[in-house]
Amino acid sequence: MIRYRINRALYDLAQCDDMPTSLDSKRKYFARYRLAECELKAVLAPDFDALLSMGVLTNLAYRFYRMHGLPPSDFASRVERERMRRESPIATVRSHG
Amino acid sequence: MASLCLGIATSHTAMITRQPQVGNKAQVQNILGGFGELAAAFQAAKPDIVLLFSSDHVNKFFLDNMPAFCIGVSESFDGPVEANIGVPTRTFPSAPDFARAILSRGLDEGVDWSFAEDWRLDHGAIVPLNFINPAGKVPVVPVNINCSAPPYPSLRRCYVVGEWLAATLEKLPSDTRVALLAAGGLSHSPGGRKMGFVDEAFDRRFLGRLASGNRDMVLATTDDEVENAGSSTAEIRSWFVVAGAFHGRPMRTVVYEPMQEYGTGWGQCLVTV
Repeated sequence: MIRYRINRALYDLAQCDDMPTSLDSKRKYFARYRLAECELKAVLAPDFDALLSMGVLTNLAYRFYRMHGLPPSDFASRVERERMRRESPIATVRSHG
Repeated sequence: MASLCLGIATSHTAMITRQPQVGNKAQVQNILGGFGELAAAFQAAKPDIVLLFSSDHVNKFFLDNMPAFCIGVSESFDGPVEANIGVPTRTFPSAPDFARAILSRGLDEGVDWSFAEDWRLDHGAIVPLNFINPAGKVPVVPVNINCSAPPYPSLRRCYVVGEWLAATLEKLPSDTRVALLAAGGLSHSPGGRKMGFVDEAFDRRFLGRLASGNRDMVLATTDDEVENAGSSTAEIRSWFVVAGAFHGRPMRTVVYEPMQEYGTGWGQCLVTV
């Protein structure tokens, strides 16, 4: 997977004065970057573990995290929870189902 | 010939200017005291120019063009680019002729710098300048080392660039006194899986190697070891440049504090001639 487009989308987003907030406005914003389906899913969720796994730069991942008003102290535990959810057998069954 | 008059290395986490009160009071006081010692040494060394090695945090440089090393060539530089680090925007005069001389010699001798004539510095540069050269009385030549988007220049390469720099200064016709300021590290991982983790064992091991002044010991630090200590621990590449430039001289630890509240191992070092 090429990491450029997803990083470009988040880099540009960090320069935006108005972050898209509704799901529709987010879809509209990210549409211009031609993201892969899994990338789009990760930014819309948001799923920071998936973003890091896709090669999003840590500085941009953190800026994106803070844009959601989430506390710095919870970043690592949230990423770990997301990872465990993604790697759990139940998640695997669901994703194949 | 130009000469090195001082080497400084320090962490640059913006919590120290934005929200110092979040940290343990005694540790914060120790860090601020350390900055006082660095600033006093800076003043006593009477540098004509400070070459500042730091890492941009994807504010200036991005994946569309990510140089390993970039030197600023301009009459002045502004910063911080961020609005929220507790430091007002200011302009630092620079030394474009000196920067061009380093740039040109590097391009001739195997250090393929890129250069930037317009650059708003971020906290990586501004936080240490705020304490060490606050009024910008000493012209600042910024150098970015890519520590934000892997692959990075290797630790060994950074050390060798420092060695080259020291040798090159001796060939310059001017009698400029040059201070080196490295900014970044120690162990920390903002936006990384280990965010909040301070690898005190690594930090102390690294500081011990720098204090030895021994090339082999400093270069015993591996890229994997640094990566394991946290995603942004990569920023200690700037410290390797200073260690290489002062090759053979011990870098004395002024302060080390494992700042849990900042999620950063905070180090400050001095090397004198």
